[in-house]
Amino acid sequence: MSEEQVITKEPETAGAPKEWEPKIIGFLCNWCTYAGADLAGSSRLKYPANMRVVRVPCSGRVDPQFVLKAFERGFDGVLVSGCHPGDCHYAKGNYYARRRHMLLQKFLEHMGIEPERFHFDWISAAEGQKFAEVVEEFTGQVKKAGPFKGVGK
Amino acid sequence: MENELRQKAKELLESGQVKQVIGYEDGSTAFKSTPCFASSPEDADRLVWNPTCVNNLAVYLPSAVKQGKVAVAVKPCDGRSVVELIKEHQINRDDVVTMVVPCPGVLNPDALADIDPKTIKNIEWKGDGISVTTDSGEISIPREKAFLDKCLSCTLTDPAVTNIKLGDSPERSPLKDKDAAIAEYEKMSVDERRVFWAKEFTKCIRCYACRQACPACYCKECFVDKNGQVWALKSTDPEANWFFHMTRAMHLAGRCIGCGECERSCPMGIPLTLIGRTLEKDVEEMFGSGAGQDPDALPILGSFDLTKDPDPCPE
Ligand code: SF4
Ligand code: SF4
Ligand code: FES
Repeated sequence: MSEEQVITKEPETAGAPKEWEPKIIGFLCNWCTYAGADLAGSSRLKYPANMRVVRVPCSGRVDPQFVLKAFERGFDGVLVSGCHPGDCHYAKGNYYARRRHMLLQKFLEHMGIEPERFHFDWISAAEGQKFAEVVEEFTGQVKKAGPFKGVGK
Repeated sequence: MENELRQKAKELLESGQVKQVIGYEDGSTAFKSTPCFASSPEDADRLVWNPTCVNNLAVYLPSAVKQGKVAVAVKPCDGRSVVELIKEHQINRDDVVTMVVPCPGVLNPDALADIDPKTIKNIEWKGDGISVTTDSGEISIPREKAFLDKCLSCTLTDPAVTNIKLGDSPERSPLKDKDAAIAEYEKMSVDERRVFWAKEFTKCIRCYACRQACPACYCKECFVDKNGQVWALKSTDPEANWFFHMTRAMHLAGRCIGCGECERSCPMGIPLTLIGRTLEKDVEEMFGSGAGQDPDALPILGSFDLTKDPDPCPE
């Protein structure tokens, strides 16, 4: 077998053509959602492994540019999640984030990106269960929306 | 009106109340005027006010006030840019004297499409449209053809920062619905819009004329110019163009007053005002306030409302 063949060889179990899996990026606040993700992990909760996590200090750190960049690079879905209202480590970062991202979601739809591809949520450090559910639901939703066709054509 | 404007400008300069008056003067042709920076009473004689005075002069304010107090001729729409600049602390209220000119509407260049530009001698308001003096006589152009779309739907009165009011405000009887273009656009499906903008943005040559003409794009270093942190490629590949325009739009969210200078300056004919208006509408619907109204208000994305802001998962 050539090197290339080794690399591209399907695992023995793969019978039918492999199902398309969405590529999702998640910007998670360090103080709550990221810890919630940890809890989901240590509680051995199952959820789809489609999401690449970027840990940020606060949901208020998430510039709409991050989300736009993700779509520019062809991610199929973007999740932003932070502390519940009243629980932000920096008191009000999440309130600014909320305005910005609720607006961004609407604007994205107006500019041609389905709202299903973007999700903004509150998940606390104690909500491992909610984390697993949100990721599962969002992954399903993006899957349904299908592969993102990109912004350039 | 023009005399009144010159007179006021002269007074302000003579008395030393302002260092500079920004207005319009005749441009290189009779169908264009150009910004005028008058710093002496004699300069003030060059000031004009006619349908070709299209530019939003607020764009010059942040740098102009560094040399001292400035008086500026503003149309009601441009006046809203001044409000935004004050609100965003780019200029002090005390550093600017606004001279609000009575504006029946400004020239849509398409109105002159059938006239040989070389023969045009003068353009002025007449009746509710304009009158174009050419070598072979006078041509009247009715309002609906003469003015820019934004003027045909304009309902604006004096801006919240009026210092000197010149003439009487013309009556406003909008001929067009401000959102006619949006309504048309919104008929497209989400995916059709994606394709629409991909096509439009592909045309962009990244000359940044839109940004330069924009009174709200006053950043000392725009994100696209940063070399250390390259967010958007400088080349004109479609994805980078999309990223530039989408980011610029978000930077203008809740701040764009819809003067249309971006679209007017774009050499590639990209419908940029459609983006601005879409976003402006979203902001109004979600947060209930608009740009350019209250100089004491907080910027929309720099504030929040605990009780009224929409929530992703209301408890
Ligand atoms: S596009 Fe954004 S970063 Fe660039 S000048 Fe405008 S507001 Fe500033
Ligand atoms: S003015 Fe037009 S071509 Fe130039 S950067 Fe702006 S959109 Fe692109
Ligand atoms: S610290 Fe979690 S949202 Fe601000």
